[in-house]
Amino acid sequence: MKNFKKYYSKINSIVDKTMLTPKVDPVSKGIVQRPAKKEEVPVGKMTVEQQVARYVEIIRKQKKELLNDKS
Amino acid sequence: MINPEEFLEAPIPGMSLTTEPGNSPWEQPPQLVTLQEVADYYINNLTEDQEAIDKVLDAIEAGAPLQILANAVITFNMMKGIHTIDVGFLVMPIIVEMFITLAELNDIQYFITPEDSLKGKVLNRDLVEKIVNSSEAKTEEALQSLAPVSKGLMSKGNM
Repeated sequence: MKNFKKYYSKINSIVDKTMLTPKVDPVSKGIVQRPAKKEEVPVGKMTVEQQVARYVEIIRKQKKELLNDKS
Repeated sequence: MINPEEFLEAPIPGMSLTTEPGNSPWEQPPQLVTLQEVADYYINNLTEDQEAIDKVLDAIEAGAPLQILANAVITFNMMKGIHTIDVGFLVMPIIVEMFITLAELNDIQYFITPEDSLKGKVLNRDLVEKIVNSSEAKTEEALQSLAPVSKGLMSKGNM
C-alpha cells in the first residue's frame, strides 16, 4: 500500500512534467536561436514508469476533452 | 488470541495439496504478458463493458477508495490467469486514473487511498483548477471596478 503511494506520486510527477511543459514554437528564429531538437524515445526503449505515465497522460487528456464537451 | 470460530474456518494444513497441481488458472502461464497488453485490456474493459462500469461506479459512490478497488480488480484478474501480480501492480495507476475519469464524468466524489477517505480529503484537480480560475477572474473584475483614487487638490472628485 505504501509502495503504491510512492509509485503513484512518481508517475504523477512525470505526467505533470510532460503536461505542463509548454510546446516549443515550431517556427525557427534563425540558426542561433533554433531550439535543440528533442528526440522522441520509442515506446520499446521507455522505462516502465514512462510507459505508465504515457497512458495516464492520454487518459487525462481524454478526460479533459470529455469534461469540456460536457460543460 | 484467535477467535475459536475463526480458527475453525481456516483451511486444514495440506488442503491445497488435495487438488492436482497446475490446474488452477494462476498456476498456468498468464494470458497477457507485457505492460502494454495488460493496460489495453483494462482500458478496453473499463470503457466498453457497461456492467463493469456500473459496478465500479456503485462501489465508488459507496465510498470505496480507488486504490482498494483497483487492488481487488487486479487480484481477481490475476486469479483468472489473465496476468501476473507484478504487471498488475505496475498498471495500477492506469486503473486508478480510469476510475477517477469515470467518477468525474459522473460527478461522483472519490477517495484515492484509504487514508484520504478517513480524513475526508478529496483530490479533485479539475475542481481545484476551476476554483482558482474563478477566484482569479473575480479578483481582476473587482480591481477593475474600483473607482480611481484622486491624486491631489486639482483632481477633485464628483461632489
